Amino acid sequence: MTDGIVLAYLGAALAIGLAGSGSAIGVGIAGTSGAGVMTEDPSKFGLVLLLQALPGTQGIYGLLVGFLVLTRIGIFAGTPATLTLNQGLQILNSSLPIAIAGFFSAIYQGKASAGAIGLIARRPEETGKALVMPAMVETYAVLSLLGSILLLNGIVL
Amino acid sequence: MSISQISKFHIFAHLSIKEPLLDKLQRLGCMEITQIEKEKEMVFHNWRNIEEDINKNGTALKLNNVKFCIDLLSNYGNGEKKGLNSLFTSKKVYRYAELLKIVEQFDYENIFIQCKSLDSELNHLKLDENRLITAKQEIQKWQELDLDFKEIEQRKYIEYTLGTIAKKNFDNLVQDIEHQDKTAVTQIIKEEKNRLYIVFIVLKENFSKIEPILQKHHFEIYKYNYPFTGTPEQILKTISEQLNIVAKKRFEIEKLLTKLHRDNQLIYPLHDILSIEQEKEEAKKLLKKSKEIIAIKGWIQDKDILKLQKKLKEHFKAYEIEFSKPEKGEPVPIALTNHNLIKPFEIIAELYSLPDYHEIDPTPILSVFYFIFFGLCLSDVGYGASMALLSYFAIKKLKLEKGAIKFFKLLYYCGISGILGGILVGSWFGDILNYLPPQLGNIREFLVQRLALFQPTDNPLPLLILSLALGVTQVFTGIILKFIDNIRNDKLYDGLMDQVSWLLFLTGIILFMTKGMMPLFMGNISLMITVIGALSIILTQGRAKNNILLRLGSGILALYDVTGYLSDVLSYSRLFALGLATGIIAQMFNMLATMVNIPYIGFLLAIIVLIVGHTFNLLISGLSAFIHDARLQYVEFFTKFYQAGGIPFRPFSLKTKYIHVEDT
Repeated sequence: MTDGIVLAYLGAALAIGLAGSGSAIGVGIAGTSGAGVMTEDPSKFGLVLLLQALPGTQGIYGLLVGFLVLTRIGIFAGTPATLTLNQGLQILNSSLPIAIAGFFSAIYQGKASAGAIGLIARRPEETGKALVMPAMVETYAVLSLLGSILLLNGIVL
Repeated sequence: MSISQISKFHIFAHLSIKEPLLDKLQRLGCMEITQIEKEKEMVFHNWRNIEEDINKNGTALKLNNVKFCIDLLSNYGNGEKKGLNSLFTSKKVYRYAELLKIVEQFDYENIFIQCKSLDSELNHLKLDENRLITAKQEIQKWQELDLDFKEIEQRKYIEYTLGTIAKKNFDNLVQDIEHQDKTAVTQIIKEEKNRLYIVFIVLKENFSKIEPILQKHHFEIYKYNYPFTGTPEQILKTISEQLNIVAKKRFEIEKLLTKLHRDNQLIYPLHDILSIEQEKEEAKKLLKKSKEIIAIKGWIQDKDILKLQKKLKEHFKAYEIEFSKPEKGEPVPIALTNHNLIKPFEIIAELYSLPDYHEIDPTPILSVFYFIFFGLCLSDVGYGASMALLSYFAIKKLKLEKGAIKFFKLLYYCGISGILGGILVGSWFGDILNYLPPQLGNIREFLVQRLALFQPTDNPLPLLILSLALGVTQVFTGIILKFIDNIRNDKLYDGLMDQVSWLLFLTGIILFMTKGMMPLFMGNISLMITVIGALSIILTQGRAKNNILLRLGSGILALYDVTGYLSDVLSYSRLFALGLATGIIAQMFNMLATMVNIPYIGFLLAIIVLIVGHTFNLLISGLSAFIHDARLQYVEFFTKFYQAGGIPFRPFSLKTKYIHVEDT
């Protein structure tokens, strides 16, 4: 196994691990406030769950990039490519956008979701607006996902 | 196709037909009644409110009592389903006249009294239970103590002291006590993480010397405060016996409540008839009356006017009705009337906010964009088809409320859009076609290679550019709509200066950026357009300022807004990213399924993995598509032209919660 592939592995691991951790924190934050709202009004379960799920997407994006990296270096095909150190670094770098932005955006999206949950608890008629607030944060996760995909796509193996 | 035309109406009628008239209006359900304001409608100078006969029959109180009963009873037995389930169960249908009869015969007072007493009993039992549980938890800590709490208090010569102390203080305490009094006995009853439960046994006469030492080491004395007698062991037994009794009583009461609920399903129609009654009472508060006449004011959709006039003529004589167009500035309620095909998309606009009465209904244009964008975000034939089929099934087979049908129709369209998007990028449950047996290679080839216009995993740029182009289209549409809106409001010059100048500038920039793909002379033309656009922005955007320098300055500053448009357009790249994400996650699950290589049961497991995985992906991608699509409409599109803030049209009608009322 070459050095390059170790770095590629690190890239996949960071994308999956960091973005996943961020989502876990975010979903946790939203969940706490969701549970609080439901003690008052359990009928809001559906909406609360929806808002709680929003910060969960970063983890999926991370997994997605990790998966793309692993496919790219031929792990699933059973014949891992031989990567130079340079190529490995390229792959590692291309995993970073979703790893970093995924981690932080998920946490802040969790906070925005918690706020939105508070909003629908008091003013259920404003559900549409409440859904948009966390989605604003998610934009940057989507953009970093896009960045990671484009970077990864540009690597010549 | 847009916002319904709405008229204002005034009805004047003789007092004697007040009740039947209101009843009729409510059953027609096509008009919203509003407050008659004294200042504006001078005619009503000496008119009074008709409050005196409101609530005489105590509808509000009755309704409250019935609500109480329903809140209590609905927890027991499965009479009416709550929450999400109510979406899937059809409501019982009653005819209005029949309903009134049923309710008259229904003795609700009796049930209310029963409910109330059962409820208070239940509350008492809950209190008892809590008390017992607290006692149990407290006494369990002393379970190992082999003494009677009550008895040790009455000893003549020996003082027993129960209490807790922090572990770290214990050794010092024992030392100090031994130092003071050798006869004292210290016994640990129970050890917790940081605390010890202790009993001290000491001669009564020596206790006064011990007490300060206890205080010094923060020893917390435990006072037993419950009526039970005996050793902790015995007390715990008594408590659990009592808990059993309470549980039995509760069970009995719950059985009674379940029976009460089963036998009195009529309470649901009663609730609804009362709330209909209540709405009528509320409407009365908005009316005015003189000696002989009542006046009703309100809003009605123009399409219902004829129906209303006809019905009124059939039933009443002593009335007069007149219609007028709303004046500017009046808070006209909004009802949307769109073609059935795009009606479901009203949900998206309504989630944001209804339009103002004097502006354009965004629904028709929004529906086109929403449809296209959803398809690009979901972009999978399998998921789109599942969504479309499930919602089609829901609409056909389940008996749904109007609102729910609208929602499922929206999902149905979204599903179809997902199918189209999937065909476009060649995604069928991800890459599941790759696992087809080689004989069917031709089909695969046709579906994935020929039919699909994009191969985003191999070459992402074309689809990304398509997403951005759609973004440009929508942003331009938004600006153009604002321009149209300005013209409608006789502000042509504002429109030319604010919107057309930007349209020129942005078009110029785009042409300039893409000039590589066009004939050579376009380069110069695009440059010219850009410059003209920029100049007109600089010259016009500061027109609010008086000082000529300030005016130019703010004009130049306005050019900076171009970054806003740039980020708006870039925001549409999410269409591409989300679409790709759906496909790749699906691919991931397909691969996971092939990894289950266990003999015999592997096949089954693989199918389970596929079902669970794809369901998960459908849910999460569908949710993402729904929300991000809506966000693009709200943040990138609506901000260009949409004022919103309309209040919904809420007709005075037979509104029900648990049943359907049929009225002919």
